[in-house]
Amino acid sequence: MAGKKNNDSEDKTLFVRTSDDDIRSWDKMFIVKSLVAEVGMPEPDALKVAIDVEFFIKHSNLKFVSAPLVREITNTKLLEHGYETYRKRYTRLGLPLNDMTDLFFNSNKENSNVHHSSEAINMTISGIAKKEYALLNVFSDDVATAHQNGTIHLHDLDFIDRPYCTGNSVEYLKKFGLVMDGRGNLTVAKPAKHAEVLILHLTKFAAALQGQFAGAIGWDAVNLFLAPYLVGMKEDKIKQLAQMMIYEFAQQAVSRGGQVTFTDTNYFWEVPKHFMDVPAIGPGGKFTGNNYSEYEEESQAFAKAAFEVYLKGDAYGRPFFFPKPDLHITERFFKTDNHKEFMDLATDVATKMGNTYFIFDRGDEVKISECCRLQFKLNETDLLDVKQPWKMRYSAMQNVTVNLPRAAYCSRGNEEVLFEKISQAMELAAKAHVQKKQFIGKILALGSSSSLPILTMNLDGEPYYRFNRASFLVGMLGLNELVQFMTGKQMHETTDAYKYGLKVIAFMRKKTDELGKKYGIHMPLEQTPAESTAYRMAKLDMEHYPIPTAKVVKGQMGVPYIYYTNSTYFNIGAPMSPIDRVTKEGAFHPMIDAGAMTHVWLGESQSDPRSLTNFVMKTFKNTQNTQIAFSPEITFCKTCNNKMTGLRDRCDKCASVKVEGITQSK
Amino acid sequence: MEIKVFWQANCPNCAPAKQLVRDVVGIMDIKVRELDISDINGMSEAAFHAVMGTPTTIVVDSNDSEIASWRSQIPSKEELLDVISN
Repeated sequence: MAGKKNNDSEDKTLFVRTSDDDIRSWDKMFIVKSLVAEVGMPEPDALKVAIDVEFFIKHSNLKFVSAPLVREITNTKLLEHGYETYRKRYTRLGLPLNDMTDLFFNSNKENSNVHHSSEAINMTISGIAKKEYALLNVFSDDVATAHQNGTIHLHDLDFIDRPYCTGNSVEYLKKFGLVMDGRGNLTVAKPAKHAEVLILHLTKFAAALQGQFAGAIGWDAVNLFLAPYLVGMKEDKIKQLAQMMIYEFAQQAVSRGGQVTFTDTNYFWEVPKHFMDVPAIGPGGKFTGNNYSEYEEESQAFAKAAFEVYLKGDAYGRPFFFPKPDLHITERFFKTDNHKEFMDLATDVATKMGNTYFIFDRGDEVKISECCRLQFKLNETDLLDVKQPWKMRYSAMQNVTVNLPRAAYCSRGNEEVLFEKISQAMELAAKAHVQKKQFIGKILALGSSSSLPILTMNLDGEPYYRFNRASFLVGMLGLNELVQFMTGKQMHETTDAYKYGLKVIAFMRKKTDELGKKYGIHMPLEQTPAESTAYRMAKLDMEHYPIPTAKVVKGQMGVPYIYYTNSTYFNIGAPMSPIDRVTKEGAFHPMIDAGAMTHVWLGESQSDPRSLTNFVMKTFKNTQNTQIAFSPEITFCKTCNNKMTGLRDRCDKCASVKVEGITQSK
Repeated sequence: MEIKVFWQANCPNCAPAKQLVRDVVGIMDIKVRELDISDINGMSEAAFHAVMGTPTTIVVDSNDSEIASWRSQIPSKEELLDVISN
C-alpha cells in the first residue's frame, strides 16, 4: 500500500512507506530526530527544516510518499536553508530505478572477470553504494574530487571496506587447519592429513579470503609446500592432484559476484634458497623432521604435473583463466637438474595457452606474486618470517593511480611544473592511503565482530591480516603519452624520449620514498593494472583537455575507443622486437618495487617453445626485466570445440560463427 | 665520448673510483659525469645503463652507446686509459 493523501478532507492523513517495510502515519518529528541523530543538527534548526518539508509534502498532492522521497525533499530543503554540509551527510546512497532495471536486463561489461548473474548484480549494487560512501565519507573532499576529475584513480572503491589484495602461505592451513569464517562459528577442520584435503582447504580458504579482499589472493610456493604430502606417490596420482587443484580453483564460481576466485599460485622448479633450511610441515600439521631442501623431487613432480594440466586445458581444451601460474626463476633454477626441460614445458604452456607468468628473482631477491603484476618484495624484516612460513602473509591495502598525461597538460610543457603537478597528485594519493588505512583500521579494531573476521582471526599470536605490514601502492598511467606531450616523441622513437620516461619514474620513485616517510606507510610504486582506468582517464582528459589529449591519446578518435598506454609500457603497436621491448621496458622495473611486467604479444604465431625458452633465459640473464608473460591469440568454436590459432570470426572446421576469441591483456 | 661514474653514499669504493677517473682523464677533453644513483638523474641514468651496483664506470660514445664498463668494481688506470685512448 502506498502512502496516500485524502484531498477531500481537512484532516489529511498521510502515510509514509518506511525503509524498514512499515507504513506509518506522517510525523515530522521523525525528520527532526533523524537530522539530530545522523548529522548532529541542532533541534531547533532541524525543526524548521522539517516544517518546510511537511508544508511541501502536504501541498504537493502526492499519491505516494516513501522514506527515500522524504529524504530527497529534506535534502532539498537543507540546501535551501544553506545547510550544504548537513545535506552531504544526510544523503542516501544507492542507484536510480532505471539503472537497476538495466542491471537486470543488461550484462556487466566493466570487468572481464565478472559474468552476468544475479550474484554479479548484487555485487554491482553494493559496489555503487560503497563507492558513493567512500567518496563521501572515507576520503576527504580534495581526494574525492581528484578521483572524480581524473587527476588520480582510487581503485576498487566498490570494495572500500576491504584491503586490496594479499599474498598467503599454505603453511598456515597446514599448521592450523581450516577456520572458514575466521570466528570458528562454522565447521572447523583440523590440519589436513591427506593431500586431497589440503587442496580442498586451500581452495575453500582462498574463496573465503576473496570475500574479504578486493583483489587477488596469492599463494606462495604452492608446489613446495604441498610436497611433504606427496612423498611416495606415483606420478599419475600427483597429476590427478594437480588437476584437482586447478579445476577446484577454476570452477568455484562462488566468490563475490559469482566470480571464480582471483588466484595466483606461485611455483618454483628449484627449492629456493630462502626455503632450503626451513623445517617442513607435513600431514596433520606436524613437522616432518626434514627441511624443505629434501622435498625437491616431490615439489618438481607437482610443478610438472600442474603445467601439464595447464597445457591440456579444460574439457574443451580452453585455457584455465585461474589460478594463474607464476613461475619464479631464481639463480638456483639454472643449477637445478632438468630445468631446461621444465622451462620448455612452461613456455609451451605460454605459447599455446598464455597462462605462464615468468617472475625473475635475481640475486637474493625474494618475491611473492599476485594480481596482474603485483609482487611483494620481501625486505629483511619479512625474511625473518621465512623460518615460520605460515607468517608469510602480506597485503597491499590500496592502489592509487596517477594520471601522468594530465600532469603534462597542466604543466604546459614546463618540466619544473610537471614534477610539481606529479608531486601534488602523489601527495593526494598518499592522503588517500592514510584515509583508507584509518577506515580499515577502524573496522579491524572491532575484532572478531568486525566485517572482516578472517582478517582479525588470531591463531599464531597475531591477526591473520598484519595491518602494520601492509603496503600502499602508487601506480602510474600513460607515461608514454606524458613523454610524447613533453618531448614530441613517444618512448620507442628516440633515446631522449625514453630517458625522459625513465627520469619521470625515477622522480616518482624518490617521491614515494619521501611521502612514505612523511606519512609513516610503505608506499612503493606499482604498474597499474589497466582494467578500465586507461579508458576512463583518457575519456575524462578528452572532455576537459581536448586539444592536448587529442595529440597523444591512443585508439580510434572518439569516445569510447580511446585509451592511454598502460603504466610504463611502450606503445603496444610500436615496431619493436620482443627482446628490445623486454630490455627497454625492463629498465623501468627496478624502480617499480611492487611489481612490473612486460607483455609480449604472440598474436597468431605459435612460437617454438624452445626459442621461447631461450628468450626467457636471456631475459633473466641480460635484462633488468622482473616479469614477462606472453599472449597468444586463440579462437574456440562453440559448436564443434575446434581450437584455432589467431582471432577468427568463423570456425575453419565447421564454419560456425559461434566462436570465442581468447587473448589476454596483462 | 663521455665517462659516467655511478656512485652512492656509504659505498666504500665509490670515492676511489671517482678519483681514479678524475686522475686518468686529467686534462683530456673528455666529459665526466659523476652520477649519484639516489638522485633522479642518477637513478634514471642507472636504469638506462642497467647499473645494478656501485661503483660503476661506463664509457659511452656520442650516441650514448656503451663502449666499455666496469660494474660494481673500480677500473684499473691502464684499462680505462686503453679505452679512452682508442
